[in-house]
This record gives sequence, structure tokens and C-alpha cells, in this order.
Amino acid sequence: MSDPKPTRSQGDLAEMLEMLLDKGVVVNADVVVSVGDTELLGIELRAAIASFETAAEYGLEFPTGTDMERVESAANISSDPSESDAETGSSSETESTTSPSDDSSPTASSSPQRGE
Amino acid sequence: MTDHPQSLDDAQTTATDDEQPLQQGRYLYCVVDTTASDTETLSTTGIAQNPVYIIETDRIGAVVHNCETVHDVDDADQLKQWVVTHQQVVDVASDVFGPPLPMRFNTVLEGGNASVEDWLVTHYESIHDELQSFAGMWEYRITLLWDSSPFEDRITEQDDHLQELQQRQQQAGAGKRFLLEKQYEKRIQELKQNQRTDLAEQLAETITPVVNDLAEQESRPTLFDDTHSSTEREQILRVAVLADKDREVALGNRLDTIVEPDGVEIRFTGPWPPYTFAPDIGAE
Repeated sequence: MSDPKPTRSQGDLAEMLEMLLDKGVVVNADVVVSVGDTELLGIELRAAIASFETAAEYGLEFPTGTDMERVESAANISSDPSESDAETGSSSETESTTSPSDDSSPTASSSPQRGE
Repeated sequence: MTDHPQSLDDAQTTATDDEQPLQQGRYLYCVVDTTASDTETLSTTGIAQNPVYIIETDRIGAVVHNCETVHDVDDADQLKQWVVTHQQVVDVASDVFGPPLPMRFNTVLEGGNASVEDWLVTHYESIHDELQSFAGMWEYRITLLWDSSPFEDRITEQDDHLQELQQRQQQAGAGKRFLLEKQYEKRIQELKQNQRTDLAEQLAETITPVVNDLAEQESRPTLFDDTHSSTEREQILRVAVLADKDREVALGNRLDTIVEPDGVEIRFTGPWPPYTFAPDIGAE
């Protein structure tokens, strides 16, 4: 039997990007400041993460001509994911704080998990 | 509640290019029901290390930080850091107050705390109702993945039509064999498509009794289609569901029953604030 646990933390990041950039409450009010090109950058970033994730996970190679530096930069697939977050220190904090379910959820394989 | 002074860190982060000045900007993370706690600050810092605090009116609180500029986000790493930090703040707020109404990333209101309070008062009824409707509810995300190779192995041995086509290929000349091979391939693709449909329907039917809402999500982009490799797992279905925390275990147990067939894998993440089910507020 397969295990319904998520298997990759990068998957959580892609999901987080999708939810925060595409979903969530949209506030329509005169006092709301419209923000520039975050959405477009988000789409590019999510696509890069998803593509890299897929290729890396299955041991596949990118098509000839793919700008790998750009893809890896966008997806931040490094040996230490905290590297890119060193400036704010958010990665290590996130890993301990974005998993409120860790304490409260049962440890059965059926429990959803985040941010591992 | 008084305005918090701009922090040193924030002042430093404003000294960059491509910035738009704001009139007493308030970056909005989420709105919470403050019945559960009287706290006015959260034990975490927000984007760019800004102090995070609550602007409250009549037991509804907006979780914000002060900002004086809006940055044009042109760097993927920075965007990723901010998204992660944003979610971290929402998670801490969720721990203190329960399920929040999560804002879309980069929602900034001008006009200081008075403007945010005014917005809360103006839309009090809809915000209050939405918060009540999400009480105890969280979003979970489920992805159904499938490696079709075990299925192909099985149908190759068990499907009568495929067996027949295979036998006819062995007895046919080159030209006819080519056509039979095409028919054979088409039959396999038909059976695989039927199996995809069955798996997706099975997932939806299995979890529907324990979720309050279900929203199918677009497939994530991948570099490859499923026609040339039988070893990769393809994405069959991706859904966001809204479910009571008390039903989380039941939901997981039901997902466990779906992974019985060969090659099926479930990704199950959460609990998340109800991003996918969040309303627009103030829409005409």
C-alpha cells in the first residue's frame, strides 16, 4: 500500500505559493494598494518548481536548451533549502512553526503533513 | 490600539529601488476571531522582520504589519521568502485564534490603523459570517498520482481484446501488423483513460462524505506528458477540500483505502487556512 503522506517539502512550497498567490481573500476597497507583477512572477516560479520537481523526482532530464541555472534559481533546489532563507532566517523557523499539526495530529500515515 | 513605530529593519528594507511610497500602509495577513484570545501581538515577526500586531474591532481582528513602501517583487528568492514568512505569520495567528480568513499575498491597505478599522466595520457582517462558517474548518489538499505500468502489465495479460490483437499480430504480414499494433496501442490508451476516470471518481466518492466542500484544482504543469513513459507517476486529480479538524483522521483513513490498486499514490497536505474557499470581500 502506498503512503498518503506528502513525500517532499518542495511540494509544500509549490502548494504554498499557489495558495497565497492565487487564492485567499481578495479585498476590494479604495484603500487597497494594487501590487505590480507579483502574480506573473509567481506563475513563473510555480511552473519552475513544479517542472523541476517532476524532473528531479523521476530522474528525468530537461529538454535541450533549458536554462537550468534559471530553473534552479527559481526553484531553489539546493542541497540546503535554508540557504536562500538565511537572510530572514525564515526557513528554519518555518519548518518548526508551519506545522501546527505536528503536535496535535496523530502519527498515523493518514495524517496530512506540511513543511517537513 | 496604537500604531506601532516603524522598525529599524523595516526602515532598512525600504531603502531599495523600485519602491512605491505608501501613506501609512498596513500589510494584511489575515482576519481572525479574537474571542479565543486577547493578545494584541504575535510571537513572530512578519515580512522583512516587521512586528506583527492585531487591529481589533468588536472581536474581529486584522493581523498586520506597518509598511511604508510597496516593493516591486522582481526576485524569485525574495518572493519565496516573503511567501513563507507570510504563511508563518498566518500559522501563528491560527494557533492563537483558530482558523483565520487568510488574505491573498501582498494585500496592503493605506490610511493607517483607522483605515483598517474602518474596513473591518464596513464589512463586519460578511467578515463575521465567513469567520463563523469556517470555525473549526481547515483546508486539505489531496493529489492523486498514478504509475500506470502495473496496470498496463495486468491488462496486457488479462484483457481479451488485447490478447486477440497480440495473436493476430503474430500471424499477420508487415503491413497488417503495423495496423494491429496501432489498434493494440489505442486499446491500451482507452483502458488507461477509463482507469484514470475510475480512480478520480473513486477518490471524490470516497472523501465526499467527510468533507464540507471540495474544489478541483488545475493540474500542475509538468514537462512531460504521459504517452511515452510508463514509469513516471502522472497526476490524475488534484483537489482542495474543506473539512472539520475532527474529521481529519477519518479523511486520512478514507484516503488509505484508495491506495490499494497498484501504482496509486496519494499526497495529502494540511491543515491549511481555507485559502481556496476564501471569499472576496467588498466585491461589487
